[in-house]
Amino acid sequence: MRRIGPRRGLAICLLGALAGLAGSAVRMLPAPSLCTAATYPHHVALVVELGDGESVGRCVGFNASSISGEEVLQASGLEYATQGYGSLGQAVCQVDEEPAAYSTCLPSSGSYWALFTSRAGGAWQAGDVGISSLDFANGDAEGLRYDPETGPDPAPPSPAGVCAAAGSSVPASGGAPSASPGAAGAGASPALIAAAAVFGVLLGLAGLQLVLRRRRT
Amino acid sequence: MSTRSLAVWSASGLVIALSTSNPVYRVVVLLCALNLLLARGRRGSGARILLTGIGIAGLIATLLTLLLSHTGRHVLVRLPAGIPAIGGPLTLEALAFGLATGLGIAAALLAVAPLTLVSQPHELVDALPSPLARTGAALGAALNLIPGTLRSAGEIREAQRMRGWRARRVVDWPAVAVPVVLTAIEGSMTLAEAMESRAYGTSARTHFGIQRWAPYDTLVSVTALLAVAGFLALVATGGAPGWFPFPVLSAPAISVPALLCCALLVVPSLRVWP
Repeated sequence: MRRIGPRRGLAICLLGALAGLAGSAVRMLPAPSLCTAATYPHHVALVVELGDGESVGRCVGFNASSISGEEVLQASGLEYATQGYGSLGQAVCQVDEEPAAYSTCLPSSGSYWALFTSRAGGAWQAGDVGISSLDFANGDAEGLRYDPETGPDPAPPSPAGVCAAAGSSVPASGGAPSASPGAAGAGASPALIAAAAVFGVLLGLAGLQLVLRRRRT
Repeated sequence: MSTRSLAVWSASGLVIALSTSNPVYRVVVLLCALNLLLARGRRGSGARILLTGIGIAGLIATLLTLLLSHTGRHVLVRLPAGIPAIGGPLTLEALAFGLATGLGIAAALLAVAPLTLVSQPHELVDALPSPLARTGAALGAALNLIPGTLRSAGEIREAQRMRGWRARRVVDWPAVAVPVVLTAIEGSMTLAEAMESRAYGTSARTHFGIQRWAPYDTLVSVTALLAVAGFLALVATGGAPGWFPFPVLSAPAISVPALLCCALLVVPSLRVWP
């Protein structure tokens, strides 16, 4: 077996650390947003109520006269997964890693993502088709609620105020506007940065161990 | 480093690797085990063979999952449906799940590898509690029989070749097999006599106290137990979600506390201690 010299080992060590840092840096770049700088004439509010009751609000801007529900979700920067249901379109299976794992998108028992629409500031209406089959115009709102399927089926919090100042992300619970602009708030993930850092450190340490091991012989 | 603290560490790493389907945590366990082998592994202990075996096992797991699981939205290639078992779509989701499975196997194997690649066999027997010492010695001797027989088979084969023997048909092999069996029986008798002459089975086994439990071993054991306890608690409470790529591939969720629990396993690799 070809021996790895101290310099090459050190290079491996540095490469490991750099890979970890690069992974962190790439993730820290802001996610692409249709809402940034409030340059878009039309806006749709997105309200997502997670299983623990926490609500997330995003304002999505667009140029065309309408935008599909899936495009709104995509532009929000939130993690999501869908599954096709024939002519009904795509059903939402997962949003923001909730549920963490699933085998059936719309289970017969358990929780699922319920879809709501609000037209021109009106009340929430339950969606009757998939998210890809819904179109939204300026001033509409899209709502998603992780519903336990048993008991009452309340609508998500009101979308009022989410797009009050286009270009800023406002918590749907009515709190103070976030400092992060638009839907780019979903950019950096501390967990991913931590994972990249741990991988980088462990790979760097392995490179160092290799160098020390070679030196001992 | 005490073999008992190493055993605690290995058990912790194994439990973590097997209790989650999340590849992120498995990679951390794998890297911690790799660091430990690089830092404390014995030279000439067969690490290369083990790593090759782990690589092959991971590859087989990946291929089997890719070929047999036809679930997932992103189709990479379609095999003719007429091919039994493997016919149908081969998906990106199945490939990812296969890789995660292979990673789990590799992490689990590497977690227990230090028991043989860092410790000596007699240290493992010494590390057993006294009620298990006799069983451990018998098991150790039995396990040693396999490499011993293989070694003996190689030597006898070489000796027969020097005498002009060539294996052309199956009926030629008894020329090697018979001496191997006889040598194994003779070796067993010799081992039994050697064990009896050392008073095996009369009382508790005595040995030189070469390995002493140091404060460092306490640190290794405590951190390993903290890691596995914390991780299992997070798994039980949903704080360390697993990962399932079907039907649509998604990035695994990462929990920082669970990540830190796994990273605690790096402690024995830090060479600030002897």
